[in-house]
Amino acid sequence: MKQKLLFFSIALAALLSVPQYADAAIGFRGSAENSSAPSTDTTVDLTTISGLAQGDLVIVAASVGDNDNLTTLETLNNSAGYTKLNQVRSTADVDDAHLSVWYKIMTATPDSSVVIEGTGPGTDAAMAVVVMAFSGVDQGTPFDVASTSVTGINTSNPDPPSINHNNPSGVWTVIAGGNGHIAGGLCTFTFPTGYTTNAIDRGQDDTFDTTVGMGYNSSPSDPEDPGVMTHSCADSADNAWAAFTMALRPAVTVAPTVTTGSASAGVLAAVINGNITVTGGANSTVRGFAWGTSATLVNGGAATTTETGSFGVAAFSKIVSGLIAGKQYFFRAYATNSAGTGYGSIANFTAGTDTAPSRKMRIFEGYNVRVLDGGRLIVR
Amino acid sequence: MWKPLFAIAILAGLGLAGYLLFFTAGLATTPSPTPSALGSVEPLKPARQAPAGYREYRSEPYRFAVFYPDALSVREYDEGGGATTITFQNISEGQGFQIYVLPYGASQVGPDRLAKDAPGGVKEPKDFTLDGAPANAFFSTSAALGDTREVWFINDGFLYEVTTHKSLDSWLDQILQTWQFI
Repeated sequence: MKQKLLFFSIALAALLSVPQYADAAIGFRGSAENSSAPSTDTTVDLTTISGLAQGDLVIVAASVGDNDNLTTLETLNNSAGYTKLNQVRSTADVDDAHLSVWYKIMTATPDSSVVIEGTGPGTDAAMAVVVMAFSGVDQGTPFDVASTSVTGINTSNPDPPSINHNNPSGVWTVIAGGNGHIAGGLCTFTFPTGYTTNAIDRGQDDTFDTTVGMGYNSSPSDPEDPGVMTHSCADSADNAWAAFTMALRPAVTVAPTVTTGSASAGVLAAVINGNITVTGGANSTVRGFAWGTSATLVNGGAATTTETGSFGVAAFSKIVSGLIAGKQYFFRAYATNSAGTGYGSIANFTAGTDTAPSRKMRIFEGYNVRVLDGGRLIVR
Repeated sequence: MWKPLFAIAILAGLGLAGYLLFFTAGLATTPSPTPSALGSVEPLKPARQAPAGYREYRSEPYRFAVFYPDALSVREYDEGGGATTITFQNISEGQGFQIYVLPYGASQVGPDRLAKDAPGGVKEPKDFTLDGAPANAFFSTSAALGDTREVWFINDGFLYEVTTHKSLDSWLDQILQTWQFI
């Protein structure tokens, strides 16, 4: 046991010197899509994205196909907090393609829907919208480098441009492509190798249609040249397309912020309290307390409690026992995530002094005791 | 299906609440202390070889050992609050003593504890040391036992109250000479 305690002390001291940051992993939350007839708003239901949470990055791509050479299209109706990444259009062909991309970091109450204004496009134009959501993206700078975009004509196969991102470790790339066509029917895209998607939608089967899609690659090259999104419908030399390539930057995780609470002390045991007040970007996998009679908790006489799991912002407590009555103890809370260990300040408590019951006379209990003249004790 | 799960959840919650209350309410019904991580920081002294006719009683939770005549039977009583009474007695021979040990934070026995455990008063007190710990021997009276010999001492957060009949004073003294804090 002594060696174990020494190990814990050394381990805690060593943890203090570990860099307190790390890259978190990006994760794919899910996708949603919808389309609408001309002059109709397109609403995408975000509640279908399971687990959409605070801090998640939502990317919205809206595509319109028309033949009016429009220069103003799509406005995001519920634009609170959404940023337009760019809007590109290909109007040099018979069928025009307009593709807009917005993004937003979800707040404490994630959006339940996103609405794209549909009154701008011409009467024959259709709109299609796809949404993807990602966790673990840096909330301050969600895109590792500026997105790239490109347009083309004579085909309905978008060819997202190459992107040269700066941080090959943990970066994901996302491509979005849309086109303008008149093929009709249920069109879709076949995505290039390495890209995953289930977010494809096709606009209303109108005079001029559009297909939009979004996909991600969790292990892109650097630079990354995604490849062509192949449209499934009959191609035409009159078609046009537009495409984006984005690079998502992983969030930087820091050690959690931990506070030490108060203690409720008895004679032999005490409840000590702590709190993870900030996760630091990733849940802690270990939390507990260092405690003991050493005021610094790093020398002999200190022990460590360990609780493993996935711990977010929450208070926690531990019962420590085997106290010496009346003795002063020191303790502090800690929690460890992938970036390191956060510590609360050192607090103290004093074990209780005397709450034991009155003594009972147990010897010869239930017997009569008397002393003979010779001093001999008789018990009967 | 949900009703049993709900009932289990309620019971588990009540159990946890009770456990926390139990430990924060002065430990009124706490069983004998268990060796703790801290208690184990300093290794316990090894058991000793008892002389012929004796056995060693050894309490790791209360950190002491004593040799006692092997004709005595031993019994332990959990008194709650971390306190325990250990009796050593031979009814037919009229021999016996008890050790009442309790968690105690003060360095001296306070008047409240004296009044609770020695209501018959303190007579002829004598100070001495027992395995390095300051101790006090005195006579008192007990409704159940009559005249008593009391030996009280404090060590490492515990108060030890050793009691026998006054007529067994010398006999107890021999036993206490084998006392060791472990």
